[in-house]
Amino acid sequence: MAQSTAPNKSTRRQSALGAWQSHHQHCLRSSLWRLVRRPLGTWATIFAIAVVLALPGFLMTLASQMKDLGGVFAAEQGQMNIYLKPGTPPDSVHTFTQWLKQFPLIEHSQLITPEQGLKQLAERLNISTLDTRANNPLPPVIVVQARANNAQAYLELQNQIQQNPQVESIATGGQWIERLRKISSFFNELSSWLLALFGLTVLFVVGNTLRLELEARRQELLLMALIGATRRYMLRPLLYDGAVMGLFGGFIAGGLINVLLTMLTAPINAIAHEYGTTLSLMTPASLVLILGATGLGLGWLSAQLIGQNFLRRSVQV
Amino acid sequence: MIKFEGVSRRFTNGHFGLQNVSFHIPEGRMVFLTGHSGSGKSTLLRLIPALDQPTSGTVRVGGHDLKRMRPHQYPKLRRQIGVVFQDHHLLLDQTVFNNVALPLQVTGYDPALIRRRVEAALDKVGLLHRQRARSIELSGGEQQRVNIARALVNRPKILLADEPTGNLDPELSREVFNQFADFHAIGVTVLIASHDLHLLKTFAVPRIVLHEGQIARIEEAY
Repeated sequence: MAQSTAPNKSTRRQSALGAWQSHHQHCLRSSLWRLVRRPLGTWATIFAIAVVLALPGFLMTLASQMKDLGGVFAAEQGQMNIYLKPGTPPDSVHTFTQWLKQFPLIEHSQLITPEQGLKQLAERLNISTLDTRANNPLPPVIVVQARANNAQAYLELQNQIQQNPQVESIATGGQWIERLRKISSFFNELSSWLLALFGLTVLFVVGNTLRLELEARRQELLLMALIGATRRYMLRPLLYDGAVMGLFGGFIAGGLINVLLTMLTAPINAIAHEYGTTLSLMTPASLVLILGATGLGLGWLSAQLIGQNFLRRSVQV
Repeated sequence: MIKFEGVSRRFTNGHFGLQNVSFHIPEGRMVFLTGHSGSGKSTLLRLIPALDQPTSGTVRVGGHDLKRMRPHQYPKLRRQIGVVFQDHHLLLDQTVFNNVALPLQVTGYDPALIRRRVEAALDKVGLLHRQRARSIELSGGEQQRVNIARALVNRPKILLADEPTGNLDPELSREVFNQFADFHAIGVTVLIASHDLHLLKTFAVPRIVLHEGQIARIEEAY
């Protein structure tokens, strides 16, 4: 047995790389095969991940759709109030109005000076005279009427104007569009928090399934440790299992959101119809990819945490 | 090759598995470890591949002080040690070939080399013809021979065996011990724990006799 036919260093390095690749391939194959071999436990975990990821994903989609909805309505109205910084000198205001003319999407614009604004305010409040001895706090406002029908271009125009250093803020459409945007921001924030919270749930769900798998493979892992397997080698199949379950869970979450949105399309369009528009609600491909990547990452992390802990406790590696 | 210096292993219940054990097995020697059940043979064997840590004392294997070794260095140490247990530790749902190939796979050998070595090891233990059989289909004796082939396929410098003939009839036991003697003959350091005195007496090999976790005596070969 001890006769030497040991391969040289470079051959060994090549064969080690080949063996490493082949072990990764083997782990991926057996993780996918596990979906068929142990369908009940594996798919139950995958669906649990999907449901847990679907809620924040759904809220994110809803928030994004509401933002788009606001954009569509604002575009249809086409009106935008640009508030310049208070105290902007008239020359700069003039330069700014000239700058606005470069945008072909703008149909026309009208300047409301701070003095005109104060006068309008006085009229609105039914006050005959307003004390203007103090500095007028109102900013110059430019009311812009954009050409309608292209929500995306309208939003891009808004972004470009917003980036001008003289601009303090922009108000589009009516107050209700602003509210819609605020609700959308709220849902966006809420969904981020829920994603973080439910991410933890995914860690536990995947972790629990993998813990059972590890318990079932305790003897095998002990044997692997005994014959000189490294911790990474022993963890690799588990990491693939976690990542594959998370990935599938994420994609199915995308599917679930799509189903929910399909069911909601009719009632939402009934409301949209009142405002003279129709909406096509669908899960953005990017969200499905984000959910898949999130699931994959969480599954991998869960496997890493559970596996490392198990090996430290049960196997001396 | 294997050196114990004042080694004790105390378990959490306060019981001493080993107490102040010291001995030295030079490279290429074959030694029997004997004593009644519970005398500390398995505890001692588990310390050599760092499957367990001593409470006090020093264990040196191949010149390395295991206490100074970091856990990530254990795999390298274990690849130099072949271990044969009484209860086989085989993956029963895997083929004989896959079981024997395992130590080479975890080391990262080329598949062609793995095939050559596994076939050579199976040939050595007389099981080449059963390489495609699942381990669960084998008899106890055959399973033990697969166990031996797996312990030796990586060409270890040390071979440890813990009651390797516990489940075997006398004839098979003798055959297994003969195989160990063959490996010793080609330079492998062999340490076999067994309480089968009748069998041990048929080999002219030094013996370390354990009693209640302590070395009762060391008998030279006769």
